[in-house]
Amino acid sequence: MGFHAIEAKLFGAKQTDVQQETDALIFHLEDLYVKVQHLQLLPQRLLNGMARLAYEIGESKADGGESSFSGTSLNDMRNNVDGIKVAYQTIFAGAFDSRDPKRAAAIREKIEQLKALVDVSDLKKLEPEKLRIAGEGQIVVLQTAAPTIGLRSPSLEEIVQ
Amino acid sequence: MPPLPAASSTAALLLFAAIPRAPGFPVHGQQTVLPVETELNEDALSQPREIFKSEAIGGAKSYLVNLGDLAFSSPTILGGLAQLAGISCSTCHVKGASNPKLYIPGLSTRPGTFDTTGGLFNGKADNHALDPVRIPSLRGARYLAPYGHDGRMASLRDFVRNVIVNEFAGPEPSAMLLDAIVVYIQGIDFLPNPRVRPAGRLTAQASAAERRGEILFSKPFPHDPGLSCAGCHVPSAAFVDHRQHYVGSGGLYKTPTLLNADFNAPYFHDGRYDTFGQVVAHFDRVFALCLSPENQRDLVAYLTAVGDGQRPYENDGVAADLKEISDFASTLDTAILAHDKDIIGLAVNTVGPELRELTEAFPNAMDTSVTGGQQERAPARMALKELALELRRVDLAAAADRFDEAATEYRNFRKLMATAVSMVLTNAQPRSLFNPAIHEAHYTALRQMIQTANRPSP
Repeated sequence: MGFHAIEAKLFGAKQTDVQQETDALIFHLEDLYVKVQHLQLLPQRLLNGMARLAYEIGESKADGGESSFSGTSLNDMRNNVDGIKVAYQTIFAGAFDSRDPKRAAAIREKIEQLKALVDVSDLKKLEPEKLRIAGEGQIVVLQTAAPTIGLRSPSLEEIVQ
Repeated sequence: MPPLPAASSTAALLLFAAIPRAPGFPVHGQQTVLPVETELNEDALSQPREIFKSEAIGGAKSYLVNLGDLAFSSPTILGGLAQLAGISCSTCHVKGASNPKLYIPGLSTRPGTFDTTGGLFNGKADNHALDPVRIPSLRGARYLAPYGHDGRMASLRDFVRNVIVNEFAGPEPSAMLLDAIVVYIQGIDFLPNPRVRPAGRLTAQASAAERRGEILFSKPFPHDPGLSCAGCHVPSAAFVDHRQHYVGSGGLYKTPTLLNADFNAPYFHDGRYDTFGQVVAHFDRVFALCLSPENQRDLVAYLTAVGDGQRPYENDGVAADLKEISDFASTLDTAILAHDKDIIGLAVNTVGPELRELTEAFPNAMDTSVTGGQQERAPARMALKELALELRRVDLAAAADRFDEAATEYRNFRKLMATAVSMVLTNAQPRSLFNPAIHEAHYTALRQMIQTANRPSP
């Protein structure tokens, strides 16, 4: 189902008979589009999301990553880092700058560090240990900094009560 | 092990279910670090049992053994591609044994073999010939000098250093780390075999075929009376003679032990044989032993008895993995006190990825091959991620010379391990990939994905 089923056929088997899977994906995307119009983007959840992306960046990509058939795993990682940066700049930067400038600087530094680490030409040129250290370091800073802007330490998993 | 989201993830590094004759799960796709079709068997549901002399006599593993085991299991001591691929010494020598399912295209001619002089991991070691050797078990290594299939190195320390630096392009290991790895390897014991007495003789419970085989084993060769099987495989000396011999396999090779050999296939220096029957037939041919079919069966019965061992495998699971993680992390007790940033870094950057690997045994909600169980698995995933972050805090504090803070964070890590982590993981285990049924469903779905991708174009 979904994108990965399509990429397996398109890029793996080099076949284009993906109409059924594409129709299903578009249906779900259109459904998602409707839902997000009414979605409340709560700061806590965005902070959680930033932390989860930072953790995900540190996962091993030795097997070609999440999108190994299409070879777009590196793009996925760059998008994750961009997502962290956009979320921080849009939602949190102002609050941190005014209440905890030192940690604000640390967060920005970590984001730029992650950006530099994924700015490579090939997935095989990534430095996985540095990425993991930088990603986890980012989360540690966020966890320590969160209370200063009235949020809880970001959670890395969605726990359904 | 990869998640299997609703969009379906691609192949994980590799795995091979412990279910007999289950298909492997090799690397596939683009931009993989290792060649496509590499099989490392990393997700098997059972692992070789590793026993240590100290634990067997009621003691415990020393700091040096745990440090050596940690380094042995760490990709960070190797270089370049090996590190990138997450390969460590324990990839080939799983729990100090072998890996009969390992296969790397271009470096293996059959599963369980590896070309140490291939160019993939160190171009400088490339001899431009595909001459893989079988991956040996390290059980009883302290009794089995010299080292290397051709016995080229008298010193285990020299051998280990050569593997790290020359075969895998790793940085020069520190003297302490090299010592620790050697102490670890020397601590790995043979599995006990109640079918063999201390002098290497069969016990009174041996079958008639085994006894006949034992007699044949000591019988001089008809055309070379100075030779016999027991002449090289000396029963009272761990079935070795510490020498190299020509046995018609293309060179001089050292006598391998027969203890626990039931679990060490494939056989011969290049892994050309899968069974004792083939080995016996080889010697019959090369040395014109004139063995009858019954003689050959008797020898195989004897070899099987000698090569046996108690509980050769253990099920992988929460308890086993947490024990290993705890043992590895225990090196921080000493390293933090000693303000040893290198060892702290080694521990954190080895245990961290192990915690991530363990997390994947508890698939997230996106894995559509696994139904239900999310209420149990999510807390397990969160607990493991928190442990990884706790270790990161240890490393960050130590790097900034705040060793008291590092010690506090390490105590937090220990407390988490002992309380919340153990409980939630044990609770979630029936809903994890350690459950054979869930394991099979997960990897069947991934295999279907690979099959879809490999379907020939019309």
